[in-house]
Amino acid sequence: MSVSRRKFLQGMAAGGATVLTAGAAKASSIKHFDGHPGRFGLLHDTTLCVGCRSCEKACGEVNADSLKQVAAVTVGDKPKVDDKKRRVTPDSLTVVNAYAVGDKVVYRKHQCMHCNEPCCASVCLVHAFEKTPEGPVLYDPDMCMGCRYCVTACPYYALSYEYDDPVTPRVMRCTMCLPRIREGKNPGCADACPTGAITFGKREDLIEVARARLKKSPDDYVDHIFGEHEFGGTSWLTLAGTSFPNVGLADGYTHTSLPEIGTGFLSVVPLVITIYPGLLAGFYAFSKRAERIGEEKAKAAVVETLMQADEETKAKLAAAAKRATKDKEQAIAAAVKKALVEAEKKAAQAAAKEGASS
Amino acid sequence: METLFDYLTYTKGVTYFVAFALMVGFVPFFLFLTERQK
Amino acid sequence: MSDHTEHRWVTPFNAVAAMIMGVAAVILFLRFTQGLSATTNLTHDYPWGLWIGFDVMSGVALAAGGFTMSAAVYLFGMKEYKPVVRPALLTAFLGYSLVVVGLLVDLGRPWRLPFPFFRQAGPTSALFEVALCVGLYLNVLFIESTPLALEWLGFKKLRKIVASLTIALTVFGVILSTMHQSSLGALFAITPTKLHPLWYSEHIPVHFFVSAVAAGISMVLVESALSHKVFHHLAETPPEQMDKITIGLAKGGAVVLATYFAIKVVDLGLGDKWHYLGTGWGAWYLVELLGFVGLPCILYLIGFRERMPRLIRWTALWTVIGIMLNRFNVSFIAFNWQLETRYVPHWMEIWVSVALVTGGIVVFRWIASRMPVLYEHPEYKGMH
Repeated sequence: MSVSRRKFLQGMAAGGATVLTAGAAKASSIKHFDGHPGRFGLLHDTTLCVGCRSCEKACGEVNADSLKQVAAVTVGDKPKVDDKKRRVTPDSLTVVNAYAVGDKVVYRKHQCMHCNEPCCASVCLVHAFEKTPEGPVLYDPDMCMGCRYCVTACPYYALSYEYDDPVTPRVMRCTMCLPRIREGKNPGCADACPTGAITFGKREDLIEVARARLKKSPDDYVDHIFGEHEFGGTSWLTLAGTSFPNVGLADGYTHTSLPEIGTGFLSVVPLVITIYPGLLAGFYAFSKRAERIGEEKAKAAVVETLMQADEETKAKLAAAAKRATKDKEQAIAAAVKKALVEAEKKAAQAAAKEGASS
Repeated sequence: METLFDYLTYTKGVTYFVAFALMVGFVPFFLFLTERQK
Repeated sequence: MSDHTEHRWVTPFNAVAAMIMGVAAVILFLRFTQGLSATTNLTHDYPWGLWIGFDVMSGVALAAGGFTMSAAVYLFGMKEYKPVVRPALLTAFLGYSLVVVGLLVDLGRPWRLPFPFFRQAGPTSALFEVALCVGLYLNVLFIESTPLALEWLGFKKLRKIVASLTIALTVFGVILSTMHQSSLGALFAITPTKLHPLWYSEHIPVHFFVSAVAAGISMVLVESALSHKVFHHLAETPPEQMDKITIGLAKGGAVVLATYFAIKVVDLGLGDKWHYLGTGWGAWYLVELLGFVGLPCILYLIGFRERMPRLIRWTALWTVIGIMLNRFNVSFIAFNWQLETRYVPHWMEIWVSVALVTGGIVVFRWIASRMPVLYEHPEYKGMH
């Protein structure tokens, strides 16, 4: 890739904003990516394949150095329709399987398809895969953590894993013989094929070759090049005389690439990071407000109760005072009455005394 | 950039940093906003 | 609390736990000397088995109680649920720690775990997002559960600092949880041809998030029922209040499960998947949808309306099993549905997973019998 994360960080350090704005100025709002121009590919024509497994043997030989173990292959020992379908493993990076189509047997070669937009690369959390400008998708075992998400995600079951290695397990896959391509040679399988069923070349040229074959003998082929558009297109192209599900390739895979499908949701992540703080602060404020209003209501209720109590006390006091005054008055009145009564009594006694002495 | 994968690697990588910075930036923003109330 | 809690080492529980862990240690020795093939049934077609489907996918979903309860109490102001926040956060912290341990066992080269953060990042990967969030959230949960230890040890100043961070940590925890709970579903958004259409959805991240909330609430119910049974002498909250909390959580669980049920059915419409319901896979899907989503939703509803805490607790266990079933379906049962080969976990895989859970329970017991998990520390009453 042209701008790696590390370079980006350096750019940020050097004067971040310029890097971002420069990128934005170049790009339009609609992105379209055609892939590296002039990249290589291979064409497997199943109508020409005889299932001799020469490609399997050659693959093991040219990759012997990078494999921990190479599967033994006898050329001409053709796979049978009834055989358990084999798949690529760490000791055989390509396998040919037999499929029964009517009374005929069709052979198809399995290996990494080298997608234009590789799904294995987009799911790797350490960026251990790279779509090279030459076409192959390469794997870097020095970065790999061994999470095996790539093996899980590959729609073509084209990756395998070294489960029996406790220290340096690797993801294994066809490399399209990139070292040989860089030397100017053909991939091992293409050179070994005795019937010309495997053709190596620039991908755009191979599509032309395939189109020409479809046009020249339309009765021999289904009018479809598998890999031209499937999941964004692949470097390995396949032609068949029968519908593709019969040879283990689902027809009708979408043209949208898997990285596009799989990473779409990840765009929501920055939205969550940026929307949630405000949103949750809102919820928090809402609950705080409810709490505050509740508290205020409680406070007001207390004050009101106190005030009510106050008034009651005042009334009581007033009543008491009133009662007190009344009592006092009564007492005075009683005292006065008593005094009067006594004064009357005294006067009466004095009058009686006076009457007796005269 | 020739492939969508490279483009996504770049944009998603940048956005992780940008979004994280914005989230951290929300903290002083929020404190500034609520300071007066206390 | 040491006055009325005797810490005896030789108990039947400890003996069984030690036996499980001992065998697991031997299995792990095998795994790290002979490779994954010696202890697992993983194949090139099934690179993810029980250790991802249970230890990671189910583990993270069941630990969602931490963010659910802390958000409810600290952000939404549902103060009455405060007694369950601490145990929920502790369960979440232990749960996430076990997820990381499980992941380390499953990774081919576990010593490279820091690579995505410090060597080279793959930001297009949903797994990168999960790793980043789980890593950060583990730290958040650690800080959120430190008050237990700080109160136990009597570090008042540190305790005060952590308390002042509560709201910020809760917000950050909710952000991280929303992101990685849904991203765990997004792991499978890239496998439209391999995962059965009934389980695959372009909205699978949303399904995972909503079901994780249901799992979290249910796990809080299961965990509090168990811990109040075992530690009834420590639990401060009176049973009547616990029953009230249980009934309240059942209401929440019913609403979340109803939502989950609804979005699952909506997806059948959006993807025109009705015809799959008539197949064998459809029957299995209906077992999950009706038996493990619809049924517990109704049972929660009845438990809430009729005030039946016992029913609610059993329903919670049922929901937990249901969410685990969903994670198993997505990660290996309905995965590769078109292939003839199937994955059945090796007994050693199951043993290691059981040992992880056992380890979690042992640590929870150790902490809960010493630190203020189920009761408030007398010196810090009324604070948070």
